[in-house]
Amino acid sequence: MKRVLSSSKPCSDREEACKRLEQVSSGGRVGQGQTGPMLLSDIPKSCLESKSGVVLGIDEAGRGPVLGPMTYGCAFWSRDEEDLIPKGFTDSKQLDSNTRSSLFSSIQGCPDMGFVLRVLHASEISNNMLRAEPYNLNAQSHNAAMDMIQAVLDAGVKIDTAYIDTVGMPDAYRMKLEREFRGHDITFVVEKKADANYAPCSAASVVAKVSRDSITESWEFSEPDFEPVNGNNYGSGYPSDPKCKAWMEANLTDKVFCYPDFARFSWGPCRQAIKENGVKVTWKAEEEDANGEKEDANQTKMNMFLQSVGPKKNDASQVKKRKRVEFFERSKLRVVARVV
Amino acid sequence: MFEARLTQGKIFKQLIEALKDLVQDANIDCSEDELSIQAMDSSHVSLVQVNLQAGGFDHFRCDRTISLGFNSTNMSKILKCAGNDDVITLKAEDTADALTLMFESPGQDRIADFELKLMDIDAEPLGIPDTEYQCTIRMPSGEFQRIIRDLQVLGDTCVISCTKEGVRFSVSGDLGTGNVLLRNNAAEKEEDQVIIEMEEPVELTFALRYLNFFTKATSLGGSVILSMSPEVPVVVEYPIEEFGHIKYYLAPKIDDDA
Repeated sequence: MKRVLSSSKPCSDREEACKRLEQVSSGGRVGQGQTGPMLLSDIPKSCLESKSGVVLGIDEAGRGPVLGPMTYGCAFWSRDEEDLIPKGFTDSKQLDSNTRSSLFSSIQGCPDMGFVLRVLHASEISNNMLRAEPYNLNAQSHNAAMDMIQAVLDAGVKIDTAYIDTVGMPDAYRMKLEREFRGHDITFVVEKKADANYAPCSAASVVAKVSRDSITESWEFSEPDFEPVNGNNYGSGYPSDPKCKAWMEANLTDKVFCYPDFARFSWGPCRQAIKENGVKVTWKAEEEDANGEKEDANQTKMNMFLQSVGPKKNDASQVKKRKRVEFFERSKLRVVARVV
Repeated sequence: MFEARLTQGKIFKQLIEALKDLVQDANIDCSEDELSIQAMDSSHVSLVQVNLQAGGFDHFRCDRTISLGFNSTNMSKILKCAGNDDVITLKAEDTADALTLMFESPGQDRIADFELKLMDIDAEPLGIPDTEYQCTIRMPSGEFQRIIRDLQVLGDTCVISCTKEGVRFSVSGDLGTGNVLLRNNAAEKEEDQVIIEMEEPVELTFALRYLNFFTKATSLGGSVILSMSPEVPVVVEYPIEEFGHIKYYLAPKIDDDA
């Protein structure tokens, strides 16, 4: 599946980075079209001139919730400046929100630590998962992580080691990363619970989690006529949270469109609620596709498990893509070889 | 110059039958010591890999490695013209754009030759990583075929779980559920045996549609070997005696929300 963002420019200084972070993490949807924003902080000078290599960590927040975005955080610094990096990172889920916020401020206040934030809005996630050819959550997660790594590389940082909290199978994910970033000589450490074991990953988890909480709490609904019953009182957004359950029940006010685009329509609880309480819609075309088989989002692909042995054809860096007219880009119009 | 002569032409017929429903276009890669095919199905969920050792042919000559891209439906159409007892010879020039297939009847009194147009197939060279599998199950291929056929009546997804107890194939669908449990069975005839070797229990979920395609290889051998490890594709191997194998790899279904 293709990656959505090819690059993102770094902020010019820390002040701008903090300002943009503030914008991104409050007040509803930010970003062009369906794809949520990616924010790359300024690049610490020590990272560009690092002698002992740059370490980078990636972690996510908000994978499970039925409401609100999933966020991807990334933090990086040079090993030379390890002493200047704030202490006290462990898995952000184990920290209370006050500690997390103060760690988040210390990340922003640390000129030697760079960070990236990528927001995948609920609408982006569900649109992708519900496409005719589903683009599943794992693949979206992998691509979000790869986009962030690419942005850091494009900004001129030579990454030595990347610590990544795994999504799906660690080995397959690591191989995918090694394949994607072949030639950059990056060591990938992909593990379960990496956020609890590696400081960069842990810092990344703070960036992701605090931003996700802030976006969720301060969400402004983009639907002009939608006034939420109970306000934004949906708790964590996890389907198991009683507050979230109650909010979902109270806010299925529109029987046709059911929920605002803050909800992940591809999630079980959401689909169930729409099926039970929404207007019944029959999509003739959906019943069977050309093969008489419905695509299954849980089905993994062989490519994930294979190693590339020969030279990669159509190396992405060599094929320059022509820029498309914005109208086509935004409306997702493209040339298709076959009519679906 | 490539030339391979096979007295038991039936094997080649069966091989193409065993992959034609799964892959449209594939390359036959020939080298000095083997003939191999590797291809994925169009949705990239499964992979088929065929390997025939040069020594298994009556005559095998391959001066330099070549790839012969073929359409499996068309290849199958031509092979339908060969009798089951015919001797099959494959021939291609180094720069040929066609593959010659020659069918000789057992009494040498009828010789037919056909030319199949070849095509260029852009196949990304992908290697299958070596995996130490936690479970291997050897069973009669007919038994496997039957299980898959039976389970398909009930649903389209099958859970294969291998434990101390044995190997269990389960399905659940709108009309009900089904389970088949096979235990170790040291039958006298090797072909009837069920042999389970297990380090750790493994449970994986697969689309029955593909497993059913794999059972098209049943006629190639009496046994089938399933190899499984957590979160990696299952290997369904049909050994072809003293000649090689056809292996199918199938990517598991993984619950996203788990």
